[in-house]
Amino acid sequence: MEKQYGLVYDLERCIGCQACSVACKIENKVAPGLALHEVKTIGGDHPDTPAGVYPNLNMHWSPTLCMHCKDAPCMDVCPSNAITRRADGIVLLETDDCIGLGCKKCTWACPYGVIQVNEAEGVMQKCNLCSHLIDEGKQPACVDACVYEATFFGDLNDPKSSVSNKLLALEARPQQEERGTDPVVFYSQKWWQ
Amino acid sequence: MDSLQTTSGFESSELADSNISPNRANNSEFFTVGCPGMGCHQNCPLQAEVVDGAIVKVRPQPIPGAPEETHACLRGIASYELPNVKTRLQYPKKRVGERGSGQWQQISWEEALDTIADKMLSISDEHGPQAIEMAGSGSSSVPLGGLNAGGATQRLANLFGCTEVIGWPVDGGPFVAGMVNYGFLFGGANDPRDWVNAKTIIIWGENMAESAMRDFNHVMQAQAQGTQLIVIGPTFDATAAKADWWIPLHPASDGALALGMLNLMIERGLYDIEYTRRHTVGPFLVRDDNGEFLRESDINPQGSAENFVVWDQTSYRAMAMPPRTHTLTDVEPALHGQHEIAGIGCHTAFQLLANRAAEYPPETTAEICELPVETIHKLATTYGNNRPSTVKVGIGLSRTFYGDLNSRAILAMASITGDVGVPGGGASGWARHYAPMLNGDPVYAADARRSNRLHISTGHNAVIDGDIKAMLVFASNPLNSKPNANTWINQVIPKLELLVVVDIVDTWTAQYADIVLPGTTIYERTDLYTVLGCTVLSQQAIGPMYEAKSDHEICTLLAQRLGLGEYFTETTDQLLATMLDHPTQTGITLEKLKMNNGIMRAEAPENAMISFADKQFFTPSGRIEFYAPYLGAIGEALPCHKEPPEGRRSALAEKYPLQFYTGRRKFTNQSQSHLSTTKELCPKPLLRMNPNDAASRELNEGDLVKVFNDRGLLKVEIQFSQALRPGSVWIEHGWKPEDFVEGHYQNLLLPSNAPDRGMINPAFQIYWGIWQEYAEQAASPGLAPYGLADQLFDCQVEVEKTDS
Repeated sequence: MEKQYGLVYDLERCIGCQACSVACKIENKVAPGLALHEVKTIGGDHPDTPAGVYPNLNMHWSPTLCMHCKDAPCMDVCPSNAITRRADGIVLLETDDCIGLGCKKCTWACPYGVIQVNEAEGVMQKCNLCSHLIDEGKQPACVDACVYEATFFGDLNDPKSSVSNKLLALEARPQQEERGTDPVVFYSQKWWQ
Repeated sequence: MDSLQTTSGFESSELADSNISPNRANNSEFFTVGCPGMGCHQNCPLQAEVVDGAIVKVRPQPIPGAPEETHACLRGIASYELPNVKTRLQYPKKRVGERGSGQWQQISWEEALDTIADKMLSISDEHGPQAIEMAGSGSSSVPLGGLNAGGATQRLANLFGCTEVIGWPVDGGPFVAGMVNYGFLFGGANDPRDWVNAKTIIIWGENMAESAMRDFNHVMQAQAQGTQLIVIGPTFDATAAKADWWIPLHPASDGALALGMLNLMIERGLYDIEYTRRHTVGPFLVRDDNGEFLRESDINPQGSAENFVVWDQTSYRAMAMPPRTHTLTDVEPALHGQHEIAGIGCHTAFQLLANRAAEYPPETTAEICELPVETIHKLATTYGNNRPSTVKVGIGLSRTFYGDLNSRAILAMASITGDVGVPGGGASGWARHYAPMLNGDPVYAADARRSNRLHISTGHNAVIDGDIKAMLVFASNPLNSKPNANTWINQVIPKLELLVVVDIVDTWTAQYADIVLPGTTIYERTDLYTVLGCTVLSQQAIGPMYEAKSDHEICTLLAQRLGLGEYFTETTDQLLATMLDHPTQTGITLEKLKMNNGIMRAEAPENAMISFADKQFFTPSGRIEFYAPYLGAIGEALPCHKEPPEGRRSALAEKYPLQFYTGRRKFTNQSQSHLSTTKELCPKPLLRMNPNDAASRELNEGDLVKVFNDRGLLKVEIQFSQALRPGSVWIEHGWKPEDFVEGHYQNLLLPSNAPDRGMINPAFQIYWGIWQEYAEQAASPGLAPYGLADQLFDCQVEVEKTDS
C-alpha cells in the first residue's frame, strides 16, 4: 500500500511556543515576512491574547500549515501543473514551475489561506512538508522541533503508526471539514469544540 | 533519539534519522554546545550542525540516560544566527567623543589591553585594587559555572584583589525563603521528572510555559496522567491557559493567600501532625518575652544552649530536644499550646504560626487577594486533600517589595503538609535535575587573595560613594537589566574613570563605555558545564568570528600586563581537566567526554530525584524553620502579608493608578535574545492593556501612548488584551531603547535596594548576614549569595495618549 503522510496535533499539549514555525523558517530559508508554518491563537483578537472577559478566559493554539488535502483545490486550479501530489501524499508546490504574480489562483482556491505570495521572487510558496528531509530519511523540521508530544507525524495508511493511533485516541478532525477537500492534518478536540 | 521518536510520534521503522551521526556523507559536522541560554537557566545541551565554518542548524542534543529531557525551544533553535547578528561586536573600539555620544574608533587588541591594564595599575596604586570592580552576571555567557561564564574573571579578580559584585541581580524572594526554611536556597523541590507523582501541582507566580519550557513539559506529562494543575498569578499567560484551575489574585497578595490557606488547613486538620512534629520547628517553644527559641540552658543552668525545648504532652513536662534530632523516646511533643516554664512564658512555634494564620480568615484573605471567598475555601481543601502536592514558587514573587515574606508564607504552608522530601511533593523556587559538580575553586583561584565582595543589589552605591573608580563589565548589561537606568546614566557611570564592556553584541551599557571588547559566543569557544545529570563539554563549533576573544583569553592577556601572567599559563584543556577532578564526576574525564560526543552522564546519588529525602534540612535545627527568630527585630519572625510601599493600594496610586510590570515571554526572555527569526514573530514592543482601562482613558488600539511616573517615561503603542488584570499594564521584558518611540521601561521600574536608597527592605541586611553565617559554618552546602530583587513590579504609572 502507498504511504499517506499526515499530521495529528494534540492541542492540549501545544503551548504555542512556535518552535515549529521557527524551525520551518530556518530549514526552508523562508524569506522575511513570509511564513509557511504559523501557530495561530484560538482566543482573542491578537496573537497570544485570550477569548473572554477577565477573569473568565481561555486560549489555545493551532499550528497551521498546508493541509496536504487529498482533494486539493489548489492543484485543480494551477494552470502550469506546478502543484502535484506525490505517491506518499505530499502536495508539492514547485516554485520553478509557478507562473507567478499574474496568476495567484491557488492562493484564492485554498480554503485555509496557507499559500503565500513571495512578491520578491514572483512565485507562490507553501509548505512542502519538508519533502527534501523526508527523502533523506528525516522528519519535517516542524515535527522535529516539537518536544511537547503535541505533534504526531507518520503514515496514516499504517494502522499501527503512532499518527494513526493518535488520530483515533484524540478523535482528531481536520479544520473546516465541511469544505470537503479531505485534508490530512488533524486537530484534537480543542480546535473544533 | 528515542525521545524524539516518542515525542513526535515519528515512525522510526520507516524513516531512520541519520541527523545525529557525526559522519554524514555530506560535509556537515556536529558539535555539542550549551544553549546560549537567553536567561531561562534551563541550559539545554544543543547540537550545532556546521557546514563550511558556519552554523546552519541547531537541534536538541539527545541527553544520555534521560531522553525525555532532550529539548530545544524556539530561542535555542533560532540561536544558530547568534554569531552573525547585526549588532555583533566585531573588533575592539575606544570612545573618541563624550560618553554615550556614539563616536568610536577601532583599535587593536594590543592598544585596548595596554590602556586597560595601565589604568587598572594606576587606580590600584592610588586607591588600592578594590577600587576596580569586575562586574558581570555572566548572562550572555551562560550556561553558568564554566571557564568563561565568570570563571576567568573571578580568577583575575581574586588574584588582583578587585571588587566583585556577587549574587544575582534578581530572583530573591523564593530563594531567601528556601534559605530561611530549609537552610538551602535551592532546596525543597524535587526533580521535575518527579512531578508526575504529584496529585496537585501549584505553579505560583511563574509563566513556566514560556520561560522554562523544558520543565513545563513535565507538568503537562503529569496532567496527562491526571494531576491537577493550579496556576496562581494575576496574568492570564500561556501557563494559566494550560491550568486546570487559574487563580487570578491581586498582585503581591500571594502571602495573604498562602496564610489564608494555612489557616483553613490548620482549622480543618489538613496537615500532617507527625511530620510537623518531627521535621519542622513547630513543637519548639518560643519565649514570649523576646521571641527567641527557648533553650535548655534557659530553664536549667546545666542545660545546653544548643538544645531546643518541647512540651511533652504525655508526661506534661518540658523536654530538651537537641538540634538535628527528630524524635525522643517516649516523648510526644505538643504542637499547640502556651506554657510557662521556669517562669518563662512560651508558645510553640506552631501555635504562633496558627495564630498568625488566624489573622487571615477567608473573608479577610478574599478581600486582600480580591478573590471570591469560596475560592479560598476550595483552594485550601484541594491543596490539603489532594496530596502529595508540588508547589513551584516562581520568580514573579521576588519582584515585589515583600517577595521574601510572600515566598516564606508559601513555604510555611507547604511545610505542614508533610510533602517536602517525599515523591510528588516539594515546595521551592528552584527545581532541577541532579547535576554533578565541577571543581571550580582552583580555576577561580579561590585560595588566592580574595576579591573584595559586595552584594550586587548594593554594589553600585560604592561607585556613587567614590569607592569604585573602574568597572570591567563582562557579559552583562546593567542599563538594560537594572531598574532606573537614569540613575546609572546620571549617577553611576559619570563617577567611573574607566568603564570597559566585553560583550558579544552592542548593548545599551556598551554605548557608555570607554573601551568595548568583542567577546565570543558559546559557539566559538570550549567550555564545561553540568546539567540534567550530565557533564557537558561545550565544544567550539566555529570561529572565533571577527576579532572576538573569549573571557579566558582576555583575562589571560590582561593578567600578563598586570604582572599576574604566571597564574594564567594553563591551557584550556588543563583547566577543564582540573574542573573535572571532582568526586561527583564519576568516571568522567576530558578524553572520555571528547570520545562521547561531549556529553556523559554522571552517577547520581541515591534519592537524587527527591530534595531532602532524608528530611535532614540544612538549617541549624535540622528542621524546616518557618519561624525565624532572627527576623523578629523587624516583626517578621513569622511570614505575614504587607502591602508594598508602592502599589495600587498606596497613596501614589491616586496620581499613578496603573500597575506597570514586565514579563518573560517566549520570544524575548532577556535583552540578549533578539534574533531575527524570533523578532519577526514579535517585531516590536506593545503595551498590553485591559480594554476596561483603555475605555476610561479614551484610548484606542494602536494609539501611541506615554507611560510615565516620577522616575521616567516611555512611549509605545498599545494593544488590548483581556489577559491583563484590570488596573495593570504590561510589556514583555527584553526590549532595548531603540525599540521604543522614546524612553525605556527600565526608567519606570522601582529598585528595591540600590541605587535609590529611599527604599530598602530591612530584611535584606539580615538575610545577607544569615547567608554569610551559614556559609561560614558550611552548614549549608552549595549556598550562593542571593539578595532581594533589585527590580520590582511595584511600579505605578499613568498612561496618556500622545501624538509623537
